[in-house]
Amino acid sequence: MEIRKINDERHSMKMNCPVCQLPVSDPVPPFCPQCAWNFKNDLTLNIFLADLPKVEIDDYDARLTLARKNWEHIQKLRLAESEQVAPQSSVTPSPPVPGSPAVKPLKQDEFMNQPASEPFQLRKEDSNPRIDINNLVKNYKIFIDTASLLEPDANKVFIEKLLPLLHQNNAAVLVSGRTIDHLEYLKNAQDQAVGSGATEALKILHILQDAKRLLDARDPHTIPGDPFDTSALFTELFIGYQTKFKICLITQNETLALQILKNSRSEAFKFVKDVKAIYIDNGQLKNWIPRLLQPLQNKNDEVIISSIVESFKIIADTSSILLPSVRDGSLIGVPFFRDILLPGLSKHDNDLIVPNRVIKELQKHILSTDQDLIKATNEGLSVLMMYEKKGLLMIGEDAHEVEGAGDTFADPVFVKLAIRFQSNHDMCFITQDRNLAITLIDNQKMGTGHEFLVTFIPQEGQLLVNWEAKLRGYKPKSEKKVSFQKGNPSKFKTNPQKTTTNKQQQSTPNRKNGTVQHKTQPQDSKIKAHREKHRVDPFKLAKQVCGLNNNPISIKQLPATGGMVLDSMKKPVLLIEELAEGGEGKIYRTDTDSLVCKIYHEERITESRRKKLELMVSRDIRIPEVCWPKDIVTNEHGQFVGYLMPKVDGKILKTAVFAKPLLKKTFPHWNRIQLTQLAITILTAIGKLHRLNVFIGDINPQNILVKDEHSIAIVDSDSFQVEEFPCPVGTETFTPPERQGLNYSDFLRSEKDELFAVTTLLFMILFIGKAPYSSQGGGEAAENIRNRSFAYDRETEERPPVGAWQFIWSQLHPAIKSDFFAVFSRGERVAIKDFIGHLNMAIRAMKQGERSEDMFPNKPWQREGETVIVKCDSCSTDHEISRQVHERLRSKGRPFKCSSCVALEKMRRLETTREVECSLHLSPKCFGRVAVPVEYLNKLAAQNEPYVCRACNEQKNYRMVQCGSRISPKCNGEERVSITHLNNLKAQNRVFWCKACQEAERARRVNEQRNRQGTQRRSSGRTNSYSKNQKKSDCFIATATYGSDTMPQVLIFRAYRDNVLLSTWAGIKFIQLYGHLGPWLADLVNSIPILRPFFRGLLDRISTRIQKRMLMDKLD
Amino acid sequence: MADDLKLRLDELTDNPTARVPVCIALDTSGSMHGQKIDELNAAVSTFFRAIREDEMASISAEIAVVTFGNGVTKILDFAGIERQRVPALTAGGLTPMGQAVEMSLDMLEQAKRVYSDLGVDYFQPWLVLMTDGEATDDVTTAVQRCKSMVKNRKLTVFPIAIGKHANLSKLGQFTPRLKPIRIEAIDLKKFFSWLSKSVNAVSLSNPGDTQSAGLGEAAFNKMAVDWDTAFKS
Repeated sequence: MEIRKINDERHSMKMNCPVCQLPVSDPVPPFCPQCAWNFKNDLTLNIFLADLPKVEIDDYDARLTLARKNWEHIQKLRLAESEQVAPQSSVTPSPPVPGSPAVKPLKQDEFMNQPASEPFQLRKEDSNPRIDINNLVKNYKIFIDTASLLEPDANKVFIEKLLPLLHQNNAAVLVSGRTIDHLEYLKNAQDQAVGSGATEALKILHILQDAKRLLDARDPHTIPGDPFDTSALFTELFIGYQTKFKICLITQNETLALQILKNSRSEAFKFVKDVKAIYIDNGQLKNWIPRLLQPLQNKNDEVIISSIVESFKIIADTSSILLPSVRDGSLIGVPFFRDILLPGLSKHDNDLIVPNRVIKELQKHILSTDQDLIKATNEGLSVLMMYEKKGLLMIGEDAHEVEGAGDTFADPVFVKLAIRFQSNHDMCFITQDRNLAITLIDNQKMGTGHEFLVTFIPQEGQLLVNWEAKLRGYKPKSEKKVSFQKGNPSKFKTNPQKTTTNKQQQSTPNRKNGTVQHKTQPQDSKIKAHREKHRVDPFKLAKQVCGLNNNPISIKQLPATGGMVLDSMKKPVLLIEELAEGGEGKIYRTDTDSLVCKIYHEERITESRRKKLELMVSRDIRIPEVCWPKDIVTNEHGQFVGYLMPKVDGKILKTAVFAKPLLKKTFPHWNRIQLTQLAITILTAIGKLHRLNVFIGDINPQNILVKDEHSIAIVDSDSFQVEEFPCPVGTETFTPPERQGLNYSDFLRSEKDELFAVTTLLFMILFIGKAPYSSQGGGEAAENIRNRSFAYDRETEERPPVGAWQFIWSQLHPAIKSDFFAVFSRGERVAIKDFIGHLNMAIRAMKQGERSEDMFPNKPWQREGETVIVKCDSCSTDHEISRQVHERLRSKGRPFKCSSCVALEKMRRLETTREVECSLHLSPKCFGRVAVPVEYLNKLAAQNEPYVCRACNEQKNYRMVQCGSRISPKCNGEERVSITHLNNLKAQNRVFWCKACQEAERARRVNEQRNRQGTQRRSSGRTNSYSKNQKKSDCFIATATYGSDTMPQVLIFRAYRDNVLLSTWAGIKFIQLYGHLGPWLADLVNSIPILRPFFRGLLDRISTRIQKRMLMDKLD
Repeated sequence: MADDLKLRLDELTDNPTARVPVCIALDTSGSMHGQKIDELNAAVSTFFRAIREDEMASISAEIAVVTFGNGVTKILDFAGIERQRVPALTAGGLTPMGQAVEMSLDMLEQAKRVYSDLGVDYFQPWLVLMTDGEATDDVTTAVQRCKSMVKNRKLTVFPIAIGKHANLSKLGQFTPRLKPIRIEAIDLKKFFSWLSKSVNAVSLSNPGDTQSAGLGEAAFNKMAVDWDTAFKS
């Protein structure tokens, strides 16, 4: 009863804590601030009086009672304390009545709105950042979090420093089971760095375990959520433990540290023994508190250099090193690096990181013609030399690029550095390039526990300002407005999926404004804000295809290897080496390492193409996953010959992923999680293009390059559909049914068309290259698509192709299945953002073990507990099948055969038979093309006989003959008789009798014999059979007419025959004649029921006549 | 035997790539004796090597080889190219070309049937017919079958005449769409190299593409036209 009340109250605006009656308003906090009653789990976490046995944890009432008792206890203690403090109070206050607290309870707001600069109560000892490890080991229970174990110098800290002390003091450290699970999971990550980090961490744990200095902290009760998430676990655990012992947590996670420190010092949790939070930095253990309090930025978003020089990875871009003043051209960047940054870095022996790319760019600038540029470059290089001399310069060698020669485009280098290192290090980028800044911010991962700053040097120099401030509209005092971008700033559609994925991450403290925030909402809106200022214009949506002018422009000279082309700035570009050749043109390496140049074949250079490329180049689109044209190139005569684009590398999706043997070779460690992640990466990139109103058109696995599940590149961008320029090519498999057969350059693709291709691509990724409309017995690709028969839909007759495909389908997340049904069976379309959401759900389901991670599952998805284990009938291996299927097979009496055996049987049938056409086509029921065993065909071939199908064979060699006797009631009238047999009978002058009649005759003869011998035994069964035979063997017509043989008329006829006819010669002859005619007449009656009444009347009259006759005879 | 079957089944079901079935019918009659058969052997092994080396072609091309000379022999049936070993061919006997073509067509039919029944995508097959002389058996049924299949776009035939004694017009009967070309024995290698490139190109396209169906034919025609310049150089 009480539980329900609480639930209802939870949804109302105000409720009271059931234990201490504190009014609590929406949103309900997880704990009551006053008495620590856990609203979510209805549990108290203040364990004073006893640990609740688990059985009682389930009992809400017991819990509530205990919580109330605890609360009273707190009151008592508080009162006692306040008495101690103010001993002059003469009145001895009576113990407080339960339920009516004597001490004024805290208001919830007071608790929540603590001043930001003081996130929790500070104590005297907090100002000392040093940690006394000895003291820790002696007196504290030490817990270790996952991230700390993954730190690069974790070994130094835990094994070299901590372990000896643990031995000395006979103490142990505690690690949560979740940490171990998480590390085991990460061990198999595709990213080598992550995998080896996890392995190292596990090694550390093993060493500690072997030394008997490691304890496993098991969850006291299950905490819902991510099975690898230690934050929730530690938070709850510590609230329980902190009153019992001193606790120290070693973690890199700022949020967690803050939370547990807050919890330990809040008013609600009384009599907490000390709680410390520590992190690892550069092989040292450091106290979190000073760092939590120390701001990184001041009110003006200016970065405080001293707080970053110590441990941040600082990466500088060319634009910042060479930054000139807009007023007088004097250098601003160089003095900053020389006078401000260098001293700071040298104090902490921290390096400045400069990508190799930047060095190369500087070296190239020396060769330019611009005097100012040369001067600036020289100064820049000399500053860098200063760093070098002091040993503080690190040149980023792009060491993470294992294959491929040469650098890639500058932006991806920075982004890759960001992606690589932000999980483990605090980073600070310094660049003046707005687009680069936005790209970096876009690639910031949430919840890493590390800082991520993107900054620039303002015009006043001497400091760094956070880009996010500028993107929000910050204008420094002296900076002139410099236009960065061609085109007008325009409304830009927000990116809904980015914000949803942000929300799904943990809340992260945000070091903006020097405050520490917990909620994610302000973060999202900031990203939205600077995205809206993103200056790239989406293209216009055209309605009609442009009039294509496909006449080739006559080119005076087509550049080739070794030749020179000019870009739009008339700068020369040297074509060094031909990299590839396609149907449209050739691709060359250029003297700029990051760019390649495509030169079209002469006959492909048309006016329309030039216009299209000019349009494309007019937007500086920098999506790292798309190889977008950067600039037009012309020959020496100024004629358009091609374009420049960024150099990308990676393996072609089709040859790297779309077949099992290839996939195993390219990404042997992958399972479905990485595969799904790849799909998400590709779809996100396509989504970005769609938002610019660019459609790829020919979405093709040959045009997508893959490096790993997070980095891809879409190439062949000159065939994209932009404004009124169509995509002139297409692939049948990816073309929707309504566009099959059309000429691709004749129409503009709509989003509907594009989404069909996207869905097909997604299907092929998840099904490792299998096309969606493949089926057993299917036709050609185009036909299947037009028929829209999706084999995985149970409603259709088509069956899915043989192989693991059906299992892959079964194991798919239901949301994805439903999406595929919508598109492939019903002809609807699903939006990219919905797909991405569902794919993320699928990944989560796989991580939680609800769906299989196997790349090639060998069984369908089955619910827990609804399966049985059976043996395959053919190969005797055990298989798990669903109970329903088992019941169905049993009821039909069919044995279970595993899918591989079934497939093998099918294969055997296919290989041991051949399809042949019947050579005769005689029978109307001819089978046409039949699968015939090869052996039989060979036999026929040896005898030089063509194949005849069974129907025609019967027709040829057999004939339907009428039975000559019709004695038996089972006589069918006609029977199939081989011609040879008929010939035999003719030779013996015998009439053909059907088998049934032959048996009947035999039986009759035996009966007569027995009658004569008088050994007939009148048992009812036999009598019946004889008499039945007797009865049934005579009147066919009567039987047929009346439908039964026991009618009085039949008996009369029988009696007449036996007594009268058989005694005369004429009578016998009549009987014989009747034997021939009778059946025919009987058949007639049977087949034309209308005749029956007529015959009945006739027979009635005859039988009456006979009756009279017989009576008269008798009377005679 | 059963293992072979399982291997074949796994090949076809693990690898969803659309298959390009190519059947090569080679004249190994007595007239090919000597240098010609040596060149042919070298060219065929180069062909197989070229297909194996191309990543995409090695998982999509399926090659079968039939020889006619001393009867008709099925040298290699369709299978994954990694498994196939090309035996050395010897010359001798008459030229039962009609029978060989019929056998090739039957093999291609069977291959398509297996693909279709298992749900494997495939391209329309190719038949490469190479001879250096005239057929010694009756080719009418073979010609009829070929013609009707080619007309219905169910087959592409590449007729190649080796040397100067081959009858081009009789060869040309097999396909109304392509004119046979005459090559010398020493250029057999070049031809097979072109063939492997064409197979690679088809394997990179997608089944049913109206472009790819004509790919082989267009390239063949181009080759015929450029024969004097491209090949002989």
